[in-house]
Amino acid sequence: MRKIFGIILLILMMTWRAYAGDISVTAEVDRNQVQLGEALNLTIRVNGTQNMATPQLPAIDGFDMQGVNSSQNFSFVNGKTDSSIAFNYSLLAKKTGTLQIPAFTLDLNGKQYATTAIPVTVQNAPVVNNTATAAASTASAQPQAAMKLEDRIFVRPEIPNGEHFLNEAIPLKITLYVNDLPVRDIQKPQIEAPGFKLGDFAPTRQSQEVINGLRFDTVEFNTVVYPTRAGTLTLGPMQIAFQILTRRQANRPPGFDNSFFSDDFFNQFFNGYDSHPANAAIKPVQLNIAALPDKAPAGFKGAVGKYEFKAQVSPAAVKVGDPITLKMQVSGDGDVTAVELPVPQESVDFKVYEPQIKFENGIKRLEQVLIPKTENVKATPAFSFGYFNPATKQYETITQGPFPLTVSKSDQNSNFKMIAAAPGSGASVPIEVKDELGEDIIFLKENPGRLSPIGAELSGLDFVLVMILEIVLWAAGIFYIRYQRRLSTDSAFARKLRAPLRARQGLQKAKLLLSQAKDKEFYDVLFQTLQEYLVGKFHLPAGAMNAAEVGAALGKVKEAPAILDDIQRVWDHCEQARYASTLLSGQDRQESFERLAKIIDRLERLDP
Amino acid sequence: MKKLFLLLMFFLLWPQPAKAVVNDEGRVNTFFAAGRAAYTQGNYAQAIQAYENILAAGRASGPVYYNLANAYFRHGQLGRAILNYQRAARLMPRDKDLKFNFKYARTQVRAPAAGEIHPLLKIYQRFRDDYTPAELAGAAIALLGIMFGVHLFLLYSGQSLRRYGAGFAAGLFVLALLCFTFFNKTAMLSSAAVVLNEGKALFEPRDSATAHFTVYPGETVRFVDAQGAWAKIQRADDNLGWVNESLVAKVGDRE
Repeated sequence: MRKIFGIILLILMMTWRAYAGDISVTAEVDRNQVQLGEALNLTIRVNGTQNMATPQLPAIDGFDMQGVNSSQNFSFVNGKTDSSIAFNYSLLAKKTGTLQIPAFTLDLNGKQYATTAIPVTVQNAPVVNNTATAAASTASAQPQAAMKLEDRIFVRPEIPNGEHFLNEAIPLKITLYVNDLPVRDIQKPQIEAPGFKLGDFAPTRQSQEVINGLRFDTVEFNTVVYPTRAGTLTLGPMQIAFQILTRRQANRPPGFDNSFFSDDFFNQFFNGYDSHPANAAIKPVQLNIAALPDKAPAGFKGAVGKYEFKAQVSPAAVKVGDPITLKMQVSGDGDVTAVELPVPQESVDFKVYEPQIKFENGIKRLEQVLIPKTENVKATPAFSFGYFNPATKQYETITQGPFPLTVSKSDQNSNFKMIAAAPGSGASVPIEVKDELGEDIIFLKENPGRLSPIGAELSGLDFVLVMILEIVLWAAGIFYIRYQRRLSTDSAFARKLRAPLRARQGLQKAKLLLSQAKDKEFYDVLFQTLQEYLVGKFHLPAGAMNAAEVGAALGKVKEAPAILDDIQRVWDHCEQARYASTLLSGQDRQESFERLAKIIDRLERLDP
Repeated sequence: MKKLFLLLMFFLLWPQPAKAVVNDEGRVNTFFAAGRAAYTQGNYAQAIQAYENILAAGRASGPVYYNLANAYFRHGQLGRAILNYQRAARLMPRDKDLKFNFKYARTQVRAPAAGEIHPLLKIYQRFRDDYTPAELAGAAIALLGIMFGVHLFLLYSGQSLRRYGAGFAAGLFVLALLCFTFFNKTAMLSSAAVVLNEGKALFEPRDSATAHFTVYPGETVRFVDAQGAWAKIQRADDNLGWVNESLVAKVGDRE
């Protein structure tokens, strides 16, 4: 608590001392000799108080005040306190010669405190020796008379003389001249131009020019202005902003001023550079702008200058409803961005779409889609571009077209296609417009379609079964084809296959004759049937058929003897019927018939 | 032979089934028109009922499922809408309206997207999705029949089969593709299921089991297994989980 009290008391004493102490005001500069375009520091120090606002100094002849800052100092030594405040003003030397910083009077607590005047010599010499920031100047080495900063850096405009017209492109060149001053961050000119439309600045050009024996570095700004109304118009003022570099003086310790450390090398090492904003202005220029003559041609839409205009259409042969692309371009020395091209409008012959207009590299291009409505269209309309030429002071017109077209009937009676520019394509290709609409589901189906029982779908098993059936049919086909082929190529096989069929036919015939009691015919048929069957069955020669041949054909079949016996019996009956048919009874005939049927049946079963 | 012919005629000319079909079609057309009228008036619940009546009568078609799906969609039942779009796709897979609506409805589903698939697989899937199993089977059967027929003709006319070897090889490849696609599609359809309502898929088939992931209405999953009232499903990201059976409906089920 005691400590806090002590601190508060100390502060109060210090404050009292500060207010109650003697006040004095001094002014000083960091150097008395500066070079043109260089800044010096003017310090106004107020001792005995810190409680005051920054003094507002009046304008100082030959100097431009760049800024001010303040610093406070307080010391407490052996119970004695000292306080002061210093105001540092940066003054840029604007003209050469012996100048004077005048005495200033400050009003503090009702008392007037005055400073003393300070003489300063401003020399015309290189401001800095730093090769990185100062231009090497031959002019600086020459003896020169007293110069102002405005003589070392200034701006000049150039506008062509003569009569100017409304909307004419008037070239404007603004040149910044700099003589041996380190200037940085040069901005584009700011121009006040009511009644003018300003064009864009072309890239700057830098060069050198000698004026009155002095070499100036120049920076050219080129642009174009377009008067938007007739009469006397004022162009300007114009000004160019930039930064001037000045060397910052290092605060070296006392005793080092004339030492080894004052060498240029150390100057460059320790000293930095301050940049000071400045600008060079030009007074306004007055221009008389003439109105355009009356009686402008039909195609004139305000273009002033000298222009070239071209147009073309493609394709030249189309169908009704197909798009034709019209391309136009205009270039010239006037305000090309503002010229209006002769855009065709909707007519009975053509449907037109919104043109696509682009401007690049000083050329204005137009692309537009035209759609012929009928096959009667034979050509496009003519396209006329009118302009006023200030050089000839006359209106001139360039006409392109009409371009002949061959329009044929459309294949389909569809409506005209919606055409729009393909994004980023420059509209050279017409495309169908897609409306930006919301999404939703499509409406219901109008009829139920082909109804089927639920679950009556093809299963995997069904599929496999059908495939197997196909394979079976295929195998059967192969078998049939091979069978037919054997029938046609293997006669023994064919005869053997046909033998039972023919035998059955013979038996039926014999049965009929048996019922009709035609004995002789019956046995003839019976014999023939037996013979043909055996010949066919065993592939025997017809004339050489006998029991031995048949026995050999039967081979070692178990029933062969019985069959041979039956054959022999039928054979015997047939022989007997030829020569003594009366000896054979009806029972014999029936027995012969049945025996033959039995022979055929047994042989077919055995299939030897 | 005569008996066989008479039997065939008996089956062909038996009048009763024909009458039944006529009656069914009359009812179906009535329900179908009623559903359309209700839908047009914004009465979607009534439209749903009308289309469900057609299915309850045991009849179905692509347009019936499509209209039913539209009605469910409008009624706010996204799950059932997608289920019926899928059922419609089984019968009319190349219908443009169906494809559009199905695609649009799927954009409303909050399900995790399936991973990227190989472009070739994508082409195959498009081919598979564009044909019904019956069409694939029909094409395979027809192709096999043509190949067999050509083979038999060549055999009959005594021409060499070697000259047409490349053609037969190509035919066999297409046939194999068709058969594979048919079985792949039928297997896929038999296991495809759609989530009807939002719910949790659990690690185990019991109520107290830990939740594994959330399923959302309209999400298409694979029906893996069933155990009591629980269905084991596999999500598009291959995660497996158990859900209450009432939460999903199989696309191939008869309703």
